[in-house]
Amino acid sequence: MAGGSDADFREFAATHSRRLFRTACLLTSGDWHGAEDLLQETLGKLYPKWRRIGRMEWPFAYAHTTLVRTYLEQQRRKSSGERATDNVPERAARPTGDPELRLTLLDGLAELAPGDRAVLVLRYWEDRSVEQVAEMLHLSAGAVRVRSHRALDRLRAVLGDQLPGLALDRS
Amino acid sequence: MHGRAWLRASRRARVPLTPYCFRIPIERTGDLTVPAAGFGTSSRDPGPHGQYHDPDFEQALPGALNAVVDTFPAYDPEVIPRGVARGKRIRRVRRIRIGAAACAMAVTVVGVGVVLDRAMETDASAASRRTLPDGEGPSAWPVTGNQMIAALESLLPAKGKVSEVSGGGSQLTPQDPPLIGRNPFAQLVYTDSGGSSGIRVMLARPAPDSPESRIADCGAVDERRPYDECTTHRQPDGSKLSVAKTVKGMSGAPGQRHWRVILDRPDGGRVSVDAFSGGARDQWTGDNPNGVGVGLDPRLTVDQLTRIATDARWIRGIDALPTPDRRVLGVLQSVLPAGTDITAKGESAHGATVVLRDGKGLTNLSASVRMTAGPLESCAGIADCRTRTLPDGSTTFAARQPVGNAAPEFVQWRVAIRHPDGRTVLLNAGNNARPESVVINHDDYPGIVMEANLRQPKTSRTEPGLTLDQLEAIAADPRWTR
Repeated sequence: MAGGSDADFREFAATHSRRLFRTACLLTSGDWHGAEDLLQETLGKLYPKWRRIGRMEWPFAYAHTTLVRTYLEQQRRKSSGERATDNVPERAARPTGDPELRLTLLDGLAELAPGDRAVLVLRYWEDRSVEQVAEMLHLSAGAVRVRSHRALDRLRAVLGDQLPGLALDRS
Repeated sequence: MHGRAWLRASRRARVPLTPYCFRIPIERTGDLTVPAAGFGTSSRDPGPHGQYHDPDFEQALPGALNAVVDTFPAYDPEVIPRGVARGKRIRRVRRIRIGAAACAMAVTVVGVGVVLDRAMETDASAASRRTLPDGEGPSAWPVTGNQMIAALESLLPAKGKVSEVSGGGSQLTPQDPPLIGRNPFAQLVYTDSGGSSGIRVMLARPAPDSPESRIADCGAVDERRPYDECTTHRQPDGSKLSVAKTVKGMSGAPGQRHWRVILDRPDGGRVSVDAFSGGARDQWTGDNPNGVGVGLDPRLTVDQLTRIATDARWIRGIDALPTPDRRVLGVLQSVLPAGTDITAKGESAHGATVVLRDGKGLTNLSASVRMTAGPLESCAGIADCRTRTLPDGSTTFAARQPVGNAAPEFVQWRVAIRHPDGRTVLLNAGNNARPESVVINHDDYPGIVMEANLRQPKTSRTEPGLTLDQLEAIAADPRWTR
């Protein structure tokens, strides 16, 4: 079980940041600068509570939930505080060397509402059950199913029949 | 229940963060047990009204997401110490708040509350409004737009709100090398009880003798919009601090007010901070007495803007930017034939433009460098065109052709070379430059080159002053890939 010291926290962060960062990358649709900011913010939130979190049986689960909720908080803040501007902001930085279809998948994720995207990432990449996702996001199980269904429909519309090919490419 | 009390109660009632992974596969990493992700085989739940209508798609999605995740780069290890610093700051602010609350309860003297409030406000405005760690900000290459935004937000007075936030980093795409870096910036609208102001900060390393560099001595970048007031002071460390105010529009009538503070450091780095009255910069250039911010001052004073410009957070960001000789303009100037006379020059997001002069007239030469995935364009449909593959695997393209929809006398020679690593150099030489052309990096559109004084463009000569062979040699110069 992890302890509560600064060194313990840094060790925890070093061990699990790669995994958290990958989730953050999916949540931000491949914007890895934004994903790093999200990871940093998450670590910042965890640190003051580490004495308590470090004693938990599953500190990573707490960290992961914090990451997802922080992402959704940021999205809510953005949607309420930002307005359209004539100046085109920086396009999200994307990983290098992606085949076109992988970029298309990221573009498809980017088209989803943040909450729907979070549901989809948790369900289909993190492999969480509907109940677990519902608890993480403070939603009902029915709402998670609706969001999941809606996200799949949307993604399916963007990707068409290409997705199985992408999955096979990996193997 | 009053609104604030209700909010506190509702916050207390929120579902606590609890472990959720007790029913999912786990993997052991070090001394911590973590839930496995991405490779689970649990069956999916049906959709809200039954099974999802495309089970193949649903089954393929986890694998596809894994394939995409595998392409993500590694995170910057510095994110951990930054997160720790952020956490320490959160804890410090929380302790101040707890202390303030305790004092407010124990001592019912209004003055104490005011003092504590001011102490907290000072802490937030001087160090961070987004609780950015002390000394943090844009650092190593690449400088990101998010870093710029975070640093700018951290330097604003804490009593206001921000909106219309946007920013740009030192790269347009993550694969861009420093050679083709652009000026990172952040801009937003700051609003407090007295109104709104557009605020913008930009980091740069203007090339010596470029139009941008003239601002250091109060010379306007674009002569169409001179400053109404401007002073320049030499600082003890050798840097120059220029403070400019514009209160009139282009026609001389009162317009949106614009305060600008520019810090030019001895090493060539620049921090420019702009504030516009009433809100974001009004793009309307005509007279409008009811326009944005007319008759108002920006909400931040020149002193406040100066504090932002001189803050140490920007230093490492500037240090990370390539020096002028290591950007496209610098390389382009170095690879031109010896003795070439350059009469004007400017930089854009991916490249640079120079105006060359010889005994026959002027040539407009632009260079652009990009990382490209696909092959160069083909010669299909172009009468005077050739492509080649060089011994090192690089491919080239060279064509002479008229300019799009322009009159037939306007011609351009286009040359490109794509190296095996994807770095692609594109050159475009035209015969349409004018001697008074001033290529500027317009401050309204960071990274966008505009040419002033080109109201009636006309050809300067029958053909560009560089041959296709010369252009190919310039494009293939190894200095582009160093």
